[in-house]
Amino acid sequence: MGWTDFILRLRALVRHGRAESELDEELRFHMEMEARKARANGLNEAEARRSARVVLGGVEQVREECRDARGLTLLENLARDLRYGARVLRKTPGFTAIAVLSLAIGIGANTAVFSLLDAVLLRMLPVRNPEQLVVVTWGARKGLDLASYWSTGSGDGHGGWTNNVFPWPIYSNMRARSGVLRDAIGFAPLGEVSIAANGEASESGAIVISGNYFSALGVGTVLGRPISDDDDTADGLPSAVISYRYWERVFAGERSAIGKTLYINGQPCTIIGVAPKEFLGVSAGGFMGAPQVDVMLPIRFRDRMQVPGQARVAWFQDEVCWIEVMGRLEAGRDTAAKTELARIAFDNLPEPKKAILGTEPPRIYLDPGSRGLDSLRKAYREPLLILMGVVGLTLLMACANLAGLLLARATARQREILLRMALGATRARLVRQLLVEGALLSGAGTVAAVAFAWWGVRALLAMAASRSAPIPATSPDARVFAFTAAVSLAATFLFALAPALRATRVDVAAGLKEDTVAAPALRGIGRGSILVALQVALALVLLAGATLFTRSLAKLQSLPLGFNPHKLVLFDIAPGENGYDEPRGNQLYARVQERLNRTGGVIRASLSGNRLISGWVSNGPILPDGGADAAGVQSDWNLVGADFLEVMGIPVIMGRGIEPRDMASTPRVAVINQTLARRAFGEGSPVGRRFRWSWKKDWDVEVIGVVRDAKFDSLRGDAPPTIYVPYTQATYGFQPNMTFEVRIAGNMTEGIAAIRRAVADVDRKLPLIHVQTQETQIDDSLAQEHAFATLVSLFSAIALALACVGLYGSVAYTVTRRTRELGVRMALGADRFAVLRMLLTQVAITVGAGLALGLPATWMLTRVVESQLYGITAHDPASMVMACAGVVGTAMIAALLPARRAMRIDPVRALRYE
Amino acid sequence: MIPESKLDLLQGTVDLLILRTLQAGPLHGWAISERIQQISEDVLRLNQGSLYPALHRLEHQGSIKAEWGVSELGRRARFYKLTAAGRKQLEAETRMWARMAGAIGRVLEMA
Repeated sequence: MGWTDFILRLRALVRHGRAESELDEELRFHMEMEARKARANGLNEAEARRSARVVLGGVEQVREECRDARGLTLLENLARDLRYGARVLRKTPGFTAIAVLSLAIGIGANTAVFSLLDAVLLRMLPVRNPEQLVVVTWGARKGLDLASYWSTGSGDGHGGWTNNVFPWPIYSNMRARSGVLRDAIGFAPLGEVSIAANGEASESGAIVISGNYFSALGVGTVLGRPISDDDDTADGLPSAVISYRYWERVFAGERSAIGKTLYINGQPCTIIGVAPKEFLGVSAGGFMGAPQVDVMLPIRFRDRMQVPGQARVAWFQDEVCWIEVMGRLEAGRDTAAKTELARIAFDNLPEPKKAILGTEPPRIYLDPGSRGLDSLRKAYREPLLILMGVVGLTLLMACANLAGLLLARATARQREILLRMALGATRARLVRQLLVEGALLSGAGTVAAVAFAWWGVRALLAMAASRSAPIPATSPDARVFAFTAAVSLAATFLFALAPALRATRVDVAAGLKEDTVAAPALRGIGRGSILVALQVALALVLLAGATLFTRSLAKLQSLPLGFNPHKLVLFDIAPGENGYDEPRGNQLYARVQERLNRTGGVIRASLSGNRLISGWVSNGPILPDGGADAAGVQSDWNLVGADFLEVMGIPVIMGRGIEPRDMASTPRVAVINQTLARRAFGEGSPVGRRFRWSWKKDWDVEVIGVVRDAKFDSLRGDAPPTIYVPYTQATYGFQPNMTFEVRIAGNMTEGIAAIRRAVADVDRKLPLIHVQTQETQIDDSLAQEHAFATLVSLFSAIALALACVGLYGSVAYTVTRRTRELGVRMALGADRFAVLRMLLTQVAITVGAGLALGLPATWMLTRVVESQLYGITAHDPASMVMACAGVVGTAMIAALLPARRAMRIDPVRALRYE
Repeated sequence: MIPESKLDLLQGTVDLLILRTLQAGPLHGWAISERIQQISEDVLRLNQGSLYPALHRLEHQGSIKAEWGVSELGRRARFYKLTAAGRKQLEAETRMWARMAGAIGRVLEMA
């Protein structure tokens, strides 16, 4: 069949109706002529017509043969198959519903997880030639003591360090002078800022970018123009490019947004462009402290963002490290780039630092940047892959289930199939029809799956993303649809082909002769039972996983915190943005604290620089008096208000806590925890001993108390060495924003309302930011584990349900099929319970086989997820026992229901049954 | 009126007869059947069960082309005519038929 032939056939099919009526007309004409001839030969009207018809033979046959000649049989048969299949499926709504639903869930879940996988792990940045991009970081073997802002880096414990941010002189020279690294772009987050435009104010993330950011990445704007080098001036109104979602939200997508004024922390800027919808910058997950970037500003803007009350930072002259760098590199030029950039970095360090390094240049590290900065990927890689495995298993279960159901149905329709084969249908024809039915099911399932996937992606995002770990909004794209279609096609063949082939491979004559279809008793352990055993095994694996994750989560949630998280309300205020400076700001904090303490329903209130269990922490080395190590003792520290330790419920062991009298700026005091006391001051009471901050050596700090260890930034791991310092004695100066902790009695909602009123009393224009309870804060930090446990439990419940449905169907079918035999047994004297026992034994064998299959699989597979578990091993015996018990218990119940029907068989009726 | 023994015509032969009949000019289906019946002196009778499938097949192959025209009854009918490809097919099959007939004849005449 050639191509033109096919087109003709297709066209003929489309014009089918017209072709048919034309043929009818032609035949009628022929009949008319024949009748006229007969009349001419002398017959009367009626006889003429009759003879005409006789001469002509059967009209329908003619039509059929003409149709054959037109070559439509294949496509027309397909259409007929579809209509028949649809009718058959409509007649058994229960079966169809279960089949479509299990497919929808299986395929939909796979698509949803794959979408997420694609967005987080696989998708390249929507920029020009992303494979050329590299991320530049640096390090050295000797410590250079450079101040860094918003940096991720590490020390190796021996004075060596790595850092991802550069000072301005080094970056600008890299851009200007490097021949190997082209299009070097620099950018830095500004953290969360208040953005006001169009009468609306909100908190969001902002970054500053070098003038060549857009041109180097090859990204334009959907409206207006991007930032260029010309915008990078130190004076005038700075230009800003806003994100697409900000534009939609605040300006409702109006073109008039261009040229409007935007206020960043009170600083006016002009909007010059809107970024494309899919462009989320080089870091899709945002930056530390700025998870959602809504504004991009020229890099010179950094100078205008000074923190009131703190020392002015000369961003463009000092050796302050704050710029992240990326660039384009041709393949194979790594070493050349590293050498060149290292030299540029060395040349642009200030002399004292050069002297420290000596002859050894700093090291440059180049990492692939095609997928952007990989903070998100690192965090989500393993969980996503595990999840992919889980949903893959669920899909397998759904297919196994479906295969079992279809097999049972095909066997039940044996009679019909045999009859049709006896009437002349070819095996190929019947297999094709059964396949079409299967395809209809999988088609309906896929359509439902698409809807399910759409919703599923949103649900996953809502569950797993939290403030500190956002996942960019994803929606299924073409690749994902292709994936879904492939999976659904494979599923069709998996569950439809085998039963179809098996059902038609029968001896027609023998089959029609029997009045109950086939199968002596022993063959009950056929393909159906194998499928059920498989499902039981899969359900066991998933249930074991769910048990492990749930117990791991429970362990995390019950970890001792060292402080009392109950009935504690947290909120931030940021007076720095409202123009408060040091003396007024600190007074404000004190006034708010005092006002809160007087509010009804509040037991006590205090404040701190960092919330607990939020992932945020400040740290640095201290030099204890009399300490031998010149490098000092590394410690975390938190700026706190008076009574902080009491409010948080951290008990004081030696000395005292931070009291109101310590809020004066001198004498300088601090409270430390047990771990730090041991490390810095050895055994014995450190109260009265002194230490200095390694970056502020002229400050002498006295230890006034020791408290019990408490967790600081995270639940996991031991409590870190911690110092509590009054916020009025902060080494960096005035803190522009602080978190308040308020312990309340009574109702939470009323308590929060009362707090709002109290703060408004002090300053009406001070908004409360991130209002949360401490317990919710802790839950947030466990968001991922929570999501995991929930999802795996959900899927294991689905798997278990599917296995039960399969088991139920299998037993019900067995009972129906063997009604006659069972009736005979009962008539011959077997009592009802014996019958029940017989059936349940067979079920037990099947379930046992499933467990035998599932336990080794569980053993192997749980090893894979061990890294995600906390406080519990992958082979935890209690969990395994619980999972087995769960599977066996549910299976038995599922089998019991139809088996009970067997007990109620009336032998007399059974024997008459046909 | 209908002879008891009808000659079973092979499918290929029907095609040949139709093509030959159309060589003289376009005809509609009934006319083709009548012409063949007349010329063969009532020996070969094509009923619509053989005729129309054959016509559609030939049309599908591209050997003949169909057009709606006005018939002697006043109502419209489908007129078929030979195409260039059809002419070539007619020549080839006529030669084939002659060879076949000659060969069969020689076999029958042998002593």
